[in-house]
Amino acid sequence: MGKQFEPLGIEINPKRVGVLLTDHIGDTLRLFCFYTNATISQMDVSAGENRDNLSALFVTLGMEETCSSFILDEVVQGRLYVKGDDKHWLYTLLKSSSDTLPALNADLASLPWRVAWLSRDTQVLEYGWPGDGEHCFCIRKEISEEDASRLVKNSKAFIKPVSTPRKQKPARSSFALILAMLASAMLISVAVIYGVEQEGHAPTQPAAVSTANTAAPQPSGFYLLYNHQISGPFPAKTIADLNTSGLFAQDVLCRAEGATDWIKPADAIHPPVKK
Amino acid sequence: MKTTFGRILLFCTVILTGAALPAWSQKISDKDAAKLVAEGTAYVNEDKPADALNSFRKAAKAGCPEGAFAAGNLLLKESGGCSGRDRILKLSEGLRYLFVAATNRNATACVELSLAQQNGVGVPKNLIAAYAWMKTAVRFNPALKPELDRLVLLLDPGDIRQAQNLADAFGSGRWPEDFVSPVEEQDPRFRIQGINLGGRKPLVVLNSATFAVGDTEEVRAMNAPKEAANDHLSVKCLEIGDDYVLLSVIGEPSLKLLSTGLLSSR
Repeated sequence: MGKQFEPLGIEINPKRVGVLLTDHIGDTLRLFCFYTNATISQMDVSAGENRDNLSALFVTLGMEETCSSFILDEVVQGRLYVKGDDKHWLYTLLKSSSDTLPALNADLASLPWRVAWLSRDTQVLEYGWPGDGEHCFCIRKEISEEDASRLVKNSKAFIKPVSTPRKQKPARSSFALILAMLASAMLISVAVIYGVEQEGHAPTQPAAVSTANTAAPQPSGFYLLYNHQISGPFPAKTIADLNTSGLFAQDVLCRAEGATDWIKPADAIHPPVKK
Repeated sequence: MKTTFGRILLFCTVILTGAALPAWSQKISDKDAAKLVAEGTAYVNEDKPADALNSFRKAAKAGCPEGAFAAGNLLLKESGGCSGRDRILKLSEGLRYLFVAATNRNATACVELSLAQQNGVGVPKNLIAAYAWMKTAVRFNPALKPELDRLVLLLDPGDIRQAQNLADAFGSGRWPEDFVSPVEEQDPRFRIQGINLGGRKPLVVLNSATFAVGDTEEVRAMNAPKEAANDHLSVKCLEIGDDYVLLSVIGEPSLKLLSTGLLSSR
C-alpha cells in the first residue's frame, strides 16, 4: 500500500477552466471541472468552508457570485435540443482531447452515454473510455418547453435535423458473420455428405460388436453445436472420422443423442469406433 | 404442607404444559402439510391469494417442498402485478421458497429459477447459472430437454463448460449458498439525498455519492463517529425506484431496501 496523504487544499487555475458545475447537497458542495485540454476533475468539499472560495473563483471567471455553473464557448463543440417523454433536454457536447468526438448529429442523445457527474438539474455524461476511438463528455440539462423554443430560435440552431446515414467502412462484423455462417454451412455439409457416403460404402453394422466395445455402447448419433447452432444427429462414425481428419473447428461441441452434456468431439467418441 | 405440595405440583404442571404446548402445536405432520397445500390450492381457485399464501407458507415452514413451491410460485405471480418495494419483497421471498423447492427435486421450481436468472428478475442476470438450473430441471424431468437446447444456443463454448460444471455441482448437492439474499428495510447508516428518474438512467444520491443502477461506490456511514476507523462501506446499487433504492453492502448477507416518500423528482 502507498503512503496515505491527507489533502489540505486544491487550487484550480481559472485560465484553464472550460466548464465549472457546482451543486449544494446538504453540507456538501459538489464540483465538476472540465479544463480547456478536455481533462476533468470532480470533488466534494464542505460547503461551509468553501463558499467564499467558490464565489472568488466565479468572480475570477467573470461570472456573478450567485451562479452555479460556467461554460466557456471555446470548449463547446455544439448543442442539441431534443424532446423525449414530454420533456425537453439540452445536450452540450464538449470538445475532446484529440479528434475523438462522436458526430454531432441528431442521434447524439441516443448514444450509450454514462453518467459521470450529477447535480439536481444537470448531468455530465461520458461517452466511450479514455484512450478509445471516441471519447468525450457532454452536459445534459432538462429545460422547459418555452426555454427550448427560445434557445433554438435565439441560437439560430438548424431546426428539426434528421441524421443521414454515414457511409460505413466495410462492416467487419457482417463479414465475419458471413464467414462464420459459410464455415458452419460447409462443416455441416461435409458432415452430412461424409455420413451418407460412409453409410453407402460401409458394411452393415456388425451384429456382434467386439467384446471390448460392448461394455460401453456407442450412442446411435451425435449432435454438433457450433456458432450458436445445433445440427444433427450425425452417425458416430462420421464424427469420429471428421475428428480424425481434423475437420472440426476449435470450438465445436458435441452431444450424444439422449445426453445433456456438450463435450469436445474427441471426448465424445471415446472409446474410438473401430472400422 | 400437603396443600403447599399440591400447589407446587400444579404450578409445575402448568409451566411444563405451557412450555410444551407451542412445540406440540407447531409440529405438523406430512399429512397435515399436504392438507395445507390442498387448502391453499382451494383458496387460489376461490381467488383468495392472501389465504392461499398463508396455507402454503405454513406447509413450507413444516418442511413440505410442495408447499414451498406453491408459496414461491404464488409470490412470483403476485410480484408481477405490483411494483416498487412490494415487488422486491415478494420476489425475494418467492425466490427463496422456490430455491427450497428446487433443491428438493422440484423440476418446475428449477425452471422458474432458470427463468429468473435468464431475465434478471429478483436475481442478477446470469446465463451460466440459468443453464445450470435448467440442466438440473432436466435431471428431474427429461421432458424439459428442448428448453435446455434452446438455452444452450445463447451461450459461448467456454460458458457452456462452466455452466455444466455448475450443474454438476448442483447435482452433487453443492447448491449456491447465497442465491437470494434476504431484504432488510431501512438502515440508519444510509440516507437518500435525492432520486432522479428524469434522465435516461435513474440516479440516486446516497450519503453524498451518486449511483446509477449497477454502480459500486464507497460511502461513509451516516452518523458514524469521526474517530470510527471502519465507517466506510462499499455499496452496490441494485435498483432505483420512485421512492426507494435497493442496495447491497459488500460483505453483508442481506440487501437493504431504503425508502423515502419526499425526495423523488421526475
